[in-house]
Amino acid sequence: MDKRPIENIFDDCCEKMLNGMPKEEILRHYPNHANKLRELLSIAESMHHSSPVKVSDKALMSCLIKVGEAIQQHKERSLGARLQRFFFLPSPVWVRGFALTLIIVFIAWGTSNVSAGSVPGDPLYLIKLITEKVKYFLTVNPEGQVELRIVFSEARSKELLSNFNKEGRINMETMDAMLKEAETSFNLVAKLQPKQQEIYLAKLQDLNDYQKDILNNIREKSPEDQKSKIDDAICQCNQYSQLLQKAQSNGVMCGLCKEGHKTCRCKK
Amino acid sequence: MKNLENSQLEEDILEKARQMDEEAIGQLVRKHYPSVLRFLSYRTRNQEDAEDLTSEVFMRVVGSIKGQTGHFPAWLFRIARNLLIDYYRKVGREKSTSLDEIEDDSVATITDDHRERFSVDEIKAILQILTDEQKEVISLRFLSSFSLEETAQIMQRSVGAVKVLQYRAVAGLKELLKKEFN
Repeated sequence: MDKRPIENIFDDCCEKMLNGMPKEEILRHYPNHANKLRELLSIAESMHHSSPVKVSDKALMSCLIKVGEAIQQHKERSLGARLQRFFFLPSPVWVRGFALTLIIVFIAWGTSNVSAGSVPGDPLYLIKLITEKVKYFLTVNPEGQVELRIVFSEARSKELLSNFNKEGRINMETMDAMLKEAETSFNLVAKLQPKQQEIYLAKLQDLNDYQKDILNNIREKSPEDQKSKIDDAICQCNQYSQLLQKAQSNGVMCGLCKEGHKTCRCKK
Repeated sequence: MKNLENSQLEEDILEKARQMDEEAIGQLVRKHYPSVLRFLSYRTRNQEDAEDLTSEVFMRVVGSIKGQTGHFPAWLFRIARNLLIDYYRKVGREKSTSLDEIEDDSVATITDDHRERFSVDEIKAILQILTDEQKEVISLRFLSSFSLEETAQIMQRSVGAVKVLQYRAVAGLKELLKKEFN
């Protein structure tokens, strides 16, 4: 006789019934409980064999459509959440910091590259000037600073020419900036070592000659009202040229009076 | 061997569904829609409610399938069960239908040994008599054919407790049906 609790025996019967064993055959395994189990098993069996629920195609389709929409919404939400998590949640800070720095560097690099070819009047020209200022600010080496000023002055010369070819007029601000950059670089040469000074004085001389050529060429084609200003600029270049020649022939410049050491009055 | 292949195939579908693959989720819906609808049909006021609730179950599946682990049907029916609880809270308890209210012809055969099957309405009426947990164990074991272990998992009860609930539900049903006819 099976001495297990009746709940366990009934469950065994149910398991067999669910696996398809006929009721009477199941009951034969438990002869002592057959009478008690027969009715219970009948109820369970009738339940199990109850009429199936009809699945309508329309309802299934409607469910599939809703599920499809839910998938799309979930995908959009999870993308949004990922972005939100990236920018607003506290962890991991170093990853976000690093990624943000990369993004900023990339944007800055891209913009400065694009703006490099811009001329006065272009929307990106201001960015070009800012980039130059940042570059100069980040350069601590005096030699690099002189080099940068020479490059900036050369860039202004090209802009001046490009602008003139486009508009037929000289942009006065660019011309002033070109001369100012050259002057600043000359002043900075004084901070350099004697050997470096010689190199940069020669470079400045070349730059000055180049700028003078540009101004002379432009002067011929420029409108009358601008000619006097161009003449002033050419004159400035000539004076500057003399100053450079003097500095080159008199040797190393004095940091204070910008004279060669032979004529330097500060030291005397 | 074929069972192994099938379970591997099911696991592959599940894995794809966890990656939000629409095709895989569609396959899961088609496969489990009838059983979920059947489970809910016996416990809701009408077929429309059951269909709406079934759709809601699968929409919840989409929301949480990424973290799904373990036996999928048991997990799915746990969602259905939780939604059913919310449904009862919303619509309130349905008026308890007496067996007297069901057509005489069908009721007359409920305790009859020769009766092969109950209709949906009869089962609804029968389930009304039982407690919530007894209803659940009957639905899962006999209407949805879940194993004892799966039923325990869905109901978050021990196997022993489910065995006792199952026995008491059917025994109680037998007594109540007898009383109704006496």
